[in-house]
Amino acid sequence: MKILTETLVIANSEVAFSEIEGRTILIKAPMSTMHTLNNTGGLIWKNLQNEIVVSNLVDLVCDNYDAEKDVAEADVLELLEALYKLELINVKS
Amino acid sequence: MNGYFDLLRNDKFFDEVAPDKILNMTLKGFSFSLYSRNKYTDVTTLVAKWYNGFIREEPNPDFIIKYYLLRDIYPELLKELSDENDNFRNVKVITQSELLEHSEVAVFRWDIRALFNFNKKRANVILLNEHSSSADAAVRIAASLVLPYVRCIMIHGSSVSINGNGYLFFGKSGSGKSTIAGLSNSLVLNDEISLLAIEADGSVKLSGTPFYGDLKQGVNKVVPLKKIFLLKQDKDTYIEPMSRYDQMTNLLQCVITFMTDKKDYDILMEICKTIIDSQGIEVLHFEKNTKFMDVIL
Repeated sequence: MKILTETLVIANSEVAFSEIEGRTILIKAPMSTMHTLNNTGGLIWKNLQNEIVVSNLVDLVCDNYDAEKDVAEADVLELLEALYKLELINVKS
Repeated sequence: MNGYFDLLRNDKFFDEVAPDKILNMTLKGFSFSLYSRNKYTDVTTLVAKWYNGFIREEPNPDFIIKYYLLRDIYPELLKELSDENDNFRNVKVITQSELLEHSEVAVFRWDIRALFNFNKKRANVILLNEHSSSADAAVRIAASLVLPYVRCIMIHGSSVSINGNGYLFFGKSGSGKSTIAGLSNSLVLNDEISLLAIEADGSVKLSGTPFYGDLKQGVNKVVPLKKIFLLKQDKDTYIEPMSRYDQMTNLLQCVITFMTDKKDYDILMEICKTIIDSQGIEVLHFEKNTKFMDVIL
C-alpha cells in the first residue's frame, strides 16, 4: 500500500519500545527483531501510538526541527514506508 | 495441532502425575515444583543432579511443572510426533492462537510439547525422550517466561563472587564467558546463565542458576552486583566505556527470553533500563590470561 500525506497510520500494537539517549529502540515480538530510531524517528514513533494522518506528522517534524515542509514530507514518508515494510506500523487508507 | 492442545490442557490427566515424585527447585526465591509419576519414568531424577544446590522443600511452589514421557503414555504416537519434528528444530512459542485460552502459552520443541498456564501457575509437559536436557529445557523456558514478572532476568553470562561482590561477564556464544569464569580463581556462580534481580529497594543482585555450561557449575548464592562487563576477546586487556544505548542493546540481545508479547517486552526493557541506570555496563577487552583481574577490581 502506498503511503500518502492523507493516509492514516498507527504503530503496530505488538511493538514494544524504549527511549534511551535520544534514540528509540523498537522490539517487535517475538524478539528476533530490534530496530532503532533517531531523535526525529522517535518523535514520529511517539505520535504513532494513536492513529494519525501523515500530514500531521509532517507538521510535527516541521514545528520541532524547523525543517522545510517538502523535505520533512519526503523524510516522513520514507521512514513510514520503511516501518510499514518491517510491519512496525499499520496503514489505513 | 488441536489434538495437542486438548491433551496438554487435560489437567485431570496430568494431575495423575502427582504426587509420587516431586522435586522442588528455587531460583532467587521463585520456586518450581517438578512432578512425575513413580510407575512411569522418573523425570525428576533426570534433572535432580543438575539442580543440586537449588533444591529446596517448598509446600507452596510458585509454579508447577507436570511431566509425562510420551513413551509411557502414548508410545504409538512416538513416530508421528518424531516425524513432524522438523517443524520444531528451534523452540516455537505460541501465545496467540484461537486454540489457546487466556494466559496460556504453548511451547513446541523437537523434544517437548508443553502448555503453560500462568493463571493456574502450572505447565503440562510431554517429553518425547528421557534426556535430562529435555526436562531441563521445560524449566528454563518456564523460568524465562515467569521470572521477569518478579523483576528477574536470565542472561547469557558467567558470574563470579569476589569478596562477596558479584561480577557478571556476558556475551554471545564463544565470547569467553566460561574462559573468564575459569580464569577468575574465585567463586564461580555460573559459567553460562546468570540471574539479575532488581530488589524492592532498587538494588540489583546477581545470582547463579543451575543452568550451567562447560564448567558444570551452578551455585545457589545471591550477591550484590558490583560490575557488569560485555566480553570482547582481544590482544590486550583493558576496559572501555559504552554509551547507554549500546549498553541497552547489548544487554537486550543477551537476555534469555521466549516471550512473545509486547507487554512482556515492555517489562523486559524496563528491567534492563533499571539495571543500566543502577549499574552501568563496560566492555572488557581481554586476553586469555588472568590480567583481566587487575583491571576489573
